[in-house]
Amino acid sequence: MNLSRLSSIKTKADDLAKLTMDKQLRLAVTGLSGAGKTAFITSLVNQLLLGAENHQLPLWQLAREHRFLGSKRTPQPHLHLASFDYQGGMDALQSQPPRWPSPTHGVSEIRLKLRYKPQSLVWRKLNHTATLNLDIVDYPGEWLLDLPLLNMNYAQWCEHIALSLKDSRKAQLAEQWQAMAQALALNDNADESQLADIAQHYTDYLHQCKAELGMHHIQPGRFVLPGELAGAPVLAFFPISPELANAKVTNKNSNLALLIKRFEYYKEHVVKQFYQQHFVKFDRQIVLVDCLSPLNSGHDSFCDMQLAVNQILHSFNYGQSGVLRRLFSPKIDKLLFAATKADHVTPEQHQHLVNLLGEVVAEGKRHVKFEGINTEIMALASIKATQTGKAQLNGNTINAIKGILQNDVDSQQLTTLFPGEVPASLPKHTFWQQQGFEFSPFQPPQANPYQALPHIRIDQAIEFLLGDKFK
Amino acid sequence: MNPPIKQRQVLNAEQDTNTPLNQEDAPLASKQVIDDTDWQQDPEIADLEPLDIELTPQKTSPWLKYGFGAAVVIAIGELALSLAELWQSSPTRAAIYSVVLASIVGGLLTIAVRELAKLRRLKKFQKEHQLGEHYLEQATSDSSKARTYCENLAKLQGLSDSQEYLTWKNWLNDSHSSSEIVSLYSDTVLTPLDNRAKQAISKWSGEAAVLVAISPLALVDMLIIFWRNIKMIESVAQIYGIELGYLSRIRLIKSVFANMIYAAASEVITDVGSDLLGAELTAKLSGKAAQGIGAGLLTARLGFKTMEQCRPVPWTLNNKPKTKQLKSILIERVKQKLSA
Repeated sequence: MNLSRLSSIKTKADDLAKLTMDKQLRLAVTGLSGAGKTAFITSLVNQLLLGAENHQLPLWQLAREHRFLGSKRTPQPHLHLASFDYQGGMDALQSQPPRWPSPTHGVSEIRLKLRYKPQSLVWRKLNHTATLNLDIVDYPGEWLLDLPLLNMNYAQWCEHIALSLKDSRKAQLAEQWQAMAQALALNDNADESQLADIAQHYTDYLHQCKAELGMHHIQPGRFVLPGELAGAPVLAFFPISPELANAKVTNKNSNLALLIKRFEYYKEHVVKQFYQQHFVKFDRQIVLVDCLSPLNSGHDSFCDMQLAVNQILHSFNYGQSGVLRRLFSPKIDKLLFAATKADHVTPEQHQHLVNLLGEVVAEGKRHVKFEGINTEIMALASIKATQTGKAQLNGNTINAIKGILQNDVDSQQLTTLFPGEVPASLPKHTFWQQQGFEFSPFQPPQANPYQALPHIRIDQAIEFLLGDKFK
Repeated sequence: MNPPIKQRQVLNAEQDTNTPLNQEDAPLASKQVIDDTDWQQDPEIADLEPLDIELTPQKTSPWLKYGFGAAVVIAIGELALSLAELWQSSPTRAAIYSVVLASIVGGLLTIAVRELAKLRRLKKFQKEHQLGEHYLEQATSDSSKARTYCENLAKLQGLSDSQEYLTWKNWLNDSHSSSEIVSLYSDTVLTPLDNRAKQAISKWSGEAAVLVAISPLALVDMLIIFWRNIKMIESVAQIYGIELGYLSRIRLIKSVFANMIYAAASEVITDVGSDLLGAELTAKLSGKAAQGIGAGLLTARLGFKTMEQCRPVPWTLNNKPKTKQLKSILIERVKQKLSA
């Protein structure tokens, strides 16, 4: 009698311990499009799902000490969010020939249940294992570029865009929608289809900026990555020339009135809502940056990428931005900057890559640090597509990488190359004139369903982002 | 004797321009462009040199050395001469003497060779320690060197076929940097050794604490601590794969103590200071127990220093052992022994 009561108390205590032991963590992954968010999450999930045995995560303390017991996918907590398509990504990597996972276009979420042996003696006595519910949330970095909009009204925004058109190459691309916007009779009654048409041309222009000029700093961010808003009237607005935008609205149903209304709606219900619904809940954040492609594209593209990344970091700078302060109380306490695609350069260049990224984010990082957020910079490759080694060139031994170039997918021919040296600090103009380097994309390796994907320093990223939770 | 007092001089205007009295009157140096080839960079201010940690005992007089040398040479010569004479007068006795002498010389030689080999091994370990420090800081250099370094280390420590070493090898891939490789080696292969060394230290220092707590005489205390400490240093060195001979033992002990003495005072205070204060509190309850715990803590500190000397790869900030962790164990032990 007494014994059974004792054991029931023990189970109750165990349950209680389990409840308090279950930890939650929301890890947000962001980056400009093309930075490798999808590949990162696919690889991360893959490492965690397959990594308990024979893992290749030695820099992750938990795994190194054999305390990581395994993980499992569980239903995600927010049913209205898209699920991250892990299976699709793995299918692409396992296909013949392997493809990179197709990119995502909005917020998506995946939840993993991680089980591990806790280190602290007290918990180990109470129950042998502990659980961490890890939510990985993916969202486009472009959405964070809309933050400055919150401080502007429509006329100010038009002015801002007019300023950015001083760049002659941008102005050339912008000719068409500008002409159409000029022709629009602003004070006439609103013509929905005409507005939608011009907005479509404006969107095309933004896409062209991205594709042809390699620009990243694009506003409004939702136009290029609309997510679930594709085709919604809230995205059917565009900037007009600033003098016209300042005019007084006389007709409540005019084109101008409608543009202003949509702009305000966009601010209120799209930009703010993102911060209120998602951003506020993140615990940890990783910002992926592809430094190599902008280095390939040239000086303007690189500067633009730098500007965009630092703009993104403004969102973590709660203190200075009064808007954010009013919106929510911040929770993010660790922020990792990762230079992706480190497998596209030889290993001795990784440190240069880290230094370069350090300089790119220097300004934003300083502010973020001031907020008390722990930051770190590293170079990683989510899915390692190349092998490194040494090669002979003109009698000299040089470091080289070997892999199948994206261009040679049909022939599946292996190429060995030295992609050039990465500048260890912000490159000057002369850097692009010498043109001694080229980073070329590689085909991903053939994935094996029973083996975790090859990677570079994902384990170090896990250690930094999650390591302190496995006490 | 005094220098003659300078006489008053009145300067006229012409002289005055050439010897300006005031700083303001001096013409400002004008801009000059200098040829770049002669450019010499100012040397950067070097870091302060650390204090030389090796204690250098006072040199003995050279005459004493020469005298000893001469005495040895004369003794050998005399021996050889008398042996040669003996061969002529009584060969049997001479043969016996020769055999005895030869065996003694042979024995001494083998001991010397063995000692020197062990000493060299220890020196090699200490050299590896510096190398390990170097590799830990390297992020850019060729990582294959760090890899060979770790492989050699494992061979030296006799760990080449241990499970941990194989896991470490399995975990390496071609994109790890030097510092990652070495710190991974330190974390996987050396951590089990650290744990064993810590256990040994806790055992020896615990014994020292208990013995000091129950021994009635101060002299006995000193002997006990000395004896335990030497034993502990030996066992810690053995755990890390260093086999000690006589010379190498002295060298290691010397370097451990030199390290102890010159360790910054601040380090001592952060490491054991508060615990010793805690022992002070214990002294209110039992003076003997407090002495024991103090002795134990200092022994443990010596043990950790020995670990630091014997460990081929230096500690990083996270895995550095602290004497604090041992304190509760020590108190527990002394309490048990005293109450029993």
